[in-house]
Amino acid sequence: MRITRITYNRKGVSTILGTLIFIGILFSAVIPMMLTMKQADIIMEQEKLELQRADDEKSREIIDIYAYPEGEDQLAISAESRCEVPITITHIWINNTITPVSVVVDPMEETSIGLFDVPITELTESTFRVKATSLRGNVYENLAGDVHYDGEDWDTEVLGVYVVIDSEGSGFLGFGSYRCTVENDYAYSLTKDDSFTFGSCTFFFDTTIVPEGEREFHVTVEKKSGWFWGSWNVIYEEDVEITWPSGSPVVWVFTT
Amino acid sequence: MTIGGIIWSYSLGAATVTAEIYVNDTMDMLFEMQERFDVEHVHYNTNNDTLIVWVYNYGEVDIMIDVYPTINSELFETVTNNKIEAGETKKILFVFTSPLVSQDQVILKLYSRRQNIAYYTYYIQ
Repeated sequence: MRITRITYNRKGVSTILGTLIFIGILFSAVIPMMLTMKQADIIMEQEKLELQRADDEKSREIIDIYAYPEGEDQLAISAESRCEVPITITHIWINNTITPVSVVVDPMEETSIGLFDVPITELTESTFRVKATSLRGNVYENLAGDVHYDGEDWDTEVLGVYVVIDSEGSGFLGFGSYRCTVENDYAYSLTKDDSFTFGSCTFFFDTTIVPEGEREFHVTVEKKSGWFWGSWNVIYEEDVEITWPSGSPVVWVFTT
Repeated sequence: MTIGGIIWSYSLGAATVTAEIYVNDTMDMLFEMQERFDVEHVHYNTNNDTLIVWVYNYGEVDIMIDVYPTINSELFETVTNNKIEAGETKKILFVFTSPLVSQDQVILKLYSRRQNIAYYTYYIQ
């Protein structure tokens, strides 16, 4: 009887020790390992989300860069945001010269990036290609093209008026259109229409041919509901001026 | 007790090593995902027949890239081991023995050591 009791007691000790070792391994090795792996997975998922967001923000970036002469040998560069994310400009390129900057352009705001020296010599032609790089890696070219110095005066590739109509769409059974006219007192008049789409649209009016001093324009936006019937109604009018070469070569008009 | 202790210490070591390998692999994958780079500007200098490529690393990690230029469908000499720190723009030069002419097409392939690729096409002006 006594021997049997001793064996029974030893069996109990082994079971307890085995259980303790198992629990010890579980808590000191397996669980920390699993927690570490889980933590790495969480960091990975967080970073994936952040990168996705960063890529999305990069694709949403829209900015217009303008360059125009300031003083005798400088270019003023400004940026106009056309999106809902703040954009940080990190580099300005004038031809092959990179200049580091750090300018934040707030959503839908116009910001001056600064004045940049350009090497011009009187009576010598020079062309300047201006670009800006954002912190998210987008590169934007001067909206009006290259800035040219002909030895006496400055000119640019494009001068113009952009008209943006932001519409959610309506009209008669979805039919309708916008008509936009840009004209001035100096025989410049151009009308464009956007037939049947009746959604958001953008018109560009190239006014490069209009000489300096005559670049004041009257912009009229009209709307018609219906297909071939209906009448045009004026929904927006604005007077704008292109102040190039002392200001931006492009003017924007927004309406809804 | 002895056998139990041996199993315990083996398990502890194995678990630590496994966790370390897993974390390192995850971090490598993370760095690969974080890489962002692109060609910011290209210029061909006709005076010394040199193509200058500026590469912008706008990602969060330093990168090492190799650049493979293909000119009119022919692969040119590769420039390798260009280390670019995060946020840095680096200039990479290609010197040609024969001059490139206007409208020659240069396709640049940028390979990072973490297997990311960027492309850029430039036409000689």
